[in-house]
Amino acid sequence: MSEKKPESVKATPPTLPSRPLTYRHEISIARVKRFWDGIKEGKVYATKCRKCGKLYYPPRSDCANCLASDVEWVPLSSEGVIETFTVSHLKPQGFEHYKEPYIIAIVRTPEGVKVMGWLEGVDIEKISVGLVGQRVRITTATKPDGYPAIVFKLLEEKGGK
Amino acid sequence: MRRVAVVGVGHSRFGRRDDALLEEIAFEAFKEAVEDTDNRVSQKDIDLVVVGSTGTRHYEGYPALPVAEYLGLAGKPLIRVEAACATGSAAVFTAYNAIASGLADTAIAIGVEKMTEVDTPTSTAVGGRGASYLWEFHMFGTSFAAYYALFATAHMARFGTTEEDLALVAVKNHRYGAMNPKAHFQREITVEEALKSRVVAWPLKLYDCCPISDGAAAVILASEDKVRELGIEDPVWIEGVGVSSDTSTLCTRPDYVGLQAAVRAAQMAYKQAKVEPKDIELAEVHDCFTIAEIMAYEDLGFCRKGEGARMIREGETHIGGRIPVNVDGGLKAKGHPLGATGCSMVYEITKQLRHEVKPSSRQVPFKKYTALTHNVGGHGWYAYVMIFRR
Repeated sequence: MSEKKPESVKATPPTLPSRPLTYRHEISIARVKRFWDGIKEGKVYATKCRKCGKLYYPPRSDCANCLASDVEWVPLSSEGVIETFTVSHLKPQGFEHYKEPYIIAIVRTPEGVKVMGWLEGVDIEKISVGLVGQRVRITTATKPDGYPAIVFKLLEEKGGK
Repeated sequence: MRRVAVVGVGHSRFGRRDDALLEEIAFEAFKEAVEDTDNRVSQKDIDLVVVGSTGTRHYEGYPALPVAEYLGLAGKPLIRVEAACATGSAAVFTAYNAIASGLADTAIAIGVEKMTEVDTPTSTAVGGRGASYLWEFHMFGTSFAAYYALFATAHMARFGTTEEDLALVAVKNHRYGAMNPKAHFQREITVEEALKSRVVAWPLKLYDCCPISDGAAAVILASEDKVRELGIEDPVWIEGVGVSSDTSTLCTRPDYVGLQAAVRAAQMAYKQAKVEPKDIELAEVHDCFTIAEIMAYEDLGFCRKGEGARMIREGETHIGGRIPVNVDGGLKAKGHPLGATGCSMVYEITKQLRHEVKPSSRQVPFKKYTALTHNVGGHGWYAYVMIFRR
């Protein structure tokens, strides 16, 4: 993983550079590991409470509705509809090495939940609000830097093209 | 519950403040707030100090005491609060509660933030964590511009709101920012300039986004008894306070054309103040991005859902319009030092309700002397709506 260290900002002197501080968390995903394994298998998992039946995406190991902690892992459909999207030209710290710009979309699945992901294979120059409502295939990927991703691909072209 | 009045307000210059430390900027706002009470309130009168600061970008990670001590307030009951971009309002709310409940007679909310000491990619990454890290930022590097752009796209797709409409909000707020000597940007812009500015997160462009700013604002609140004891006549009263929250991920929201937390907070505040949207004569709303101002018109009930763009097109939110909004430049032109913003909104409303705005060309006319603040934290995580009357 090749993240660049943050650079000092350009400021009008006199200024004093601070001691640098780097965070790298090891996130305790034991109870939601199925989700992260699912990404590697090409599936996006939600959780369903075995007691009250409530479906959760993002997945969670405890039910806020009935307070039970007995959940079933449910793979979501591999198709959905774009609810909204943006083309991001910003590269926050940790994403410096990504090719920009990238499209972030929110897609509704037939199960009635919504999933955020990267929409790939779309010409940025031809972007319009017409993408809202279009159908996508929901896939997953592991980026070259090792980070997981959910990736959408347009199923069909429609409207004006 | 006891009534609570605003008895003193102070405001530092917002902008890139390479000239001062965090606590020095807080001092500028504090000193002005004390002087604003005609020096009737001094440190000894203050029963509770609430520092509003997210503390996420400046070098002082636990800023409450360094700030309070610098203001001569060490030793006082002291608390630091955080509600992302609504941190300043959370500070005012905490001070308000202490007085309304009888715990304090005088309390101060000091909102302060130093955001420009780190580079933009760092600030963007810290800001992106103002949403769900694990389920949003971790995989997608979502910035705040991206979150609000997701709302803008949905609003455009559903209601026909256009990029020109968004630009009109920026033009209005820059126009008033140019008249506000404390604003980060004091320059007017045109619709063409806004539309031609570089894309940050489509459909949002550079001029749709508030800047990264440093700044502080302070609000001194007092009980009715204390107001009488201090001999302050005709203060600004806080008549209604609404606070709400929402889900931490955008995936779990029903739609992307409004903020449920803001709608709920507004309803609470209107109910407590016994007023309706039509009674509001001035609003300070959370325009971190231009689309946020358009959604605020709708969420606050100034128009029906989907009609926000019409309000800006028809000039209804300019001075002289039906409900002037953000006539100090808003977050868009005045700047958005996270902890300071909520306190800055109360500063502006107070000065307006007292007819003390300088230059007076920015002064809004009042009949009912009723105004509100609308401050949102995160991508709709928190909303604070407060109603003021004089």
